[in-house]
Amino acid sequence: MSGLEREALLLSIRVGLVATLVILPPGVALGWLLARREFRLRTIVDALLTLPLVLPPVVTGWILLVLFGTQGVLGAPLARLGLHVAFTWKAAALASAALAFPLLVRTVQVAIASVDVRLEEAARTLGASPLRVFWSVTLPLASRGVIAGAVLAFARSIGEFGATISFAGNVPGQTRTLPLAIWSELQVPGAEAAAARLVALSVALAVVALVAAEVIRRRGEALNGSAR
Amino acid sequence: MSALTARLWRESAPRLDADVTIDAGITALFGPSGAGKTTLLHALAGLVRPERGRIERAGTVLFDSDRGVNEPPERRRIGVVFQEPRLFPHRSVRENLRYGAPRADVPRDFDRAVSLLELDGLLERHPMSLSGGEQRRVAIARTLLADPAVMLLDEPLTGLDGARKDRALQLLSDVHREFGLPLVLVSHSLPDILRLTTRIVVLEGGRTIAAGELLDVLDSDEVFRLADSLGLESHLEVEVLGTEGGLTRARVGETELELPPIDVAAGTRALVAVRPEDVILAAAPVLGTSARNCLEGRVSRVARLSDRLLVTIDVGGSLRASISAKSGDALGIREGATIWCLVKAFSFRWRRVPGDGRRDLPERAGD
Repeated sequence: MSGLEREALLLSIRVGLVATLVILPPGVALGWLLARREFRLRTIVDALLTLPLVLPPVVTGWILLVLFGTQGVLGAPLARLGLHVAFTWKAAALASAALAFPLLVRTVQVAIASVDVRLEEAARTLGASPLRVFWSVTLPLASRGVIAGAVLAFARSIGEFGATISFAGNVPGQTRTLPLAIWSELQVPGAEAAAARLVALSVALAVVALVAAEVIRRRGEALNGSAR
Repeated sequence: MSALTARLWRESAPRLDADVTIDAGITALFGPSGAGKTTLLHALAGLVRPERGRIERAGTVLFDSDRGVNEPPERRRIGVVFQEPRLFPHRSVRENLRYGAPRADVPRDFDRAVSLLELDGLLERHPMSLSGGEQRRVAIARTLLADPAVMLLDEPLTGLDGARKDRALQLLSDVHREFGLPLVLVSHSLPDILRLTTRIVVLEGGRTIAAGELLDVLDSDEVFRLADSLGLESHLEVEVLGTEGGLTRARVGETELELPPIDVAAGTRALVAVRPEDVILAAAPVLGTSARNCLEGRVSRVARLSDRLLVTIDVGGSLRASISAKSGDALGIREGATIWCLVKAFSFRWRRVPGDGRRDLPERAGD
């Protein structure tokens, strides 16, 4: 593995992990909200969640750039605090997070909706607060779906291209993740072999991610009891 | 003091218009299916919100629409054993039992509940690997261990028959006595209920139409109207005189009855029941039939139900007969008339007999 290849691989993993971990808590919270509560802004939330799925990723990247660029609504105040997002690995992670978020929320929403409300009611009558019910009943019983959502989010992150290149650019060692590296090699005549090696790395990463998810799931089930 | 009092209204479905008082004993919530029994239970526990009303548990206000009080289920100390066990599938039996009492400061109660409900060998098992009966027992123990002030049980006898039902009744009675806990039992089967208690609340269409002691409740106008659709039997309180020739003799008021044999001391007071279809009416005393009882009585009430008459006869207790309208006309049945009731000895069923272990279950702690 060349230095550049290793850089691209490690960057992809870092971007994928950071994006997934950052969206996990709000994603689970929003999934729960959509599965269990009626609220007025629901239509708007639904629309906003669908948007990244139907917009071309390049457009999402452009919106992020407008928001988080040094002149942007959010970017300017952040820049004054010394935090530059655009065209750094943080931008790559943010772009991935934005595109993976709806996938995570929808998966969690379905998982939580499939948890039997009657078990939650029973827990309440046994003296558990809504928060304890969530941690002790809802989340464990939805864990399979939550893990699946996290894997989807990670996979979406390491495959992200369009939003990353428009918001984070294609800076080697900074924002050049595996897909960007493959695309860059394909621009160079005669670099097909290098591209193929990167493709193989991508496939390997995807397989490792899936296996890791399966291991986590089995661990969780062993902890929660095997009778599910 | 009452363990629980509630006056609840709900206009939107599921509807409620309930007035219940629950004392320290066992109270039965009775009514046809769809009568709102489960809804009422859930409203008491805080799972269904009434639009107006008030719930008070031993002086503590749990719900008061006027004052905007609505304690959440976890703060009501009203335990519920739901119709389906609702055990947590991701936790062992032991963890299920501990759920309501996470602090380990009640080991004594834990052991007591485990042995009372015969769960010793099941603690490390997973709920899904248990039989239906075992799951129910775990559910009861789990509710007990959450330290409720009142325990509500939704149809705890459904699907049980014969020996298994006897055992379940015995368990409920033991739970009540051992833990000194007021119980509210939902059921659509009066004979089942009567083996545990005679304190009854009758529900129809979400409305409590009668409440009190069984014999008073059965005589109320509202329940009378329902009697036919509920298949309600007449109940007579009798005093046992003795057993001879394979039949037990007993007295209700001035009238003597011959009943199926039962082995209890003379002087025992007990309840017997008979279905309205099993009572034959006659305009004059009838001799020479195989029916062992020919009771003289006065018609106290006549209700016409499409092509049939439901006749209530005072024979020292209220006896109901269901006859065709045609027979009614032929006999000239009217209120105040004297009439004779023919009933076979074996048409009577013993319902609640002190001293007979299988049927008699104590109804309150300390009895």
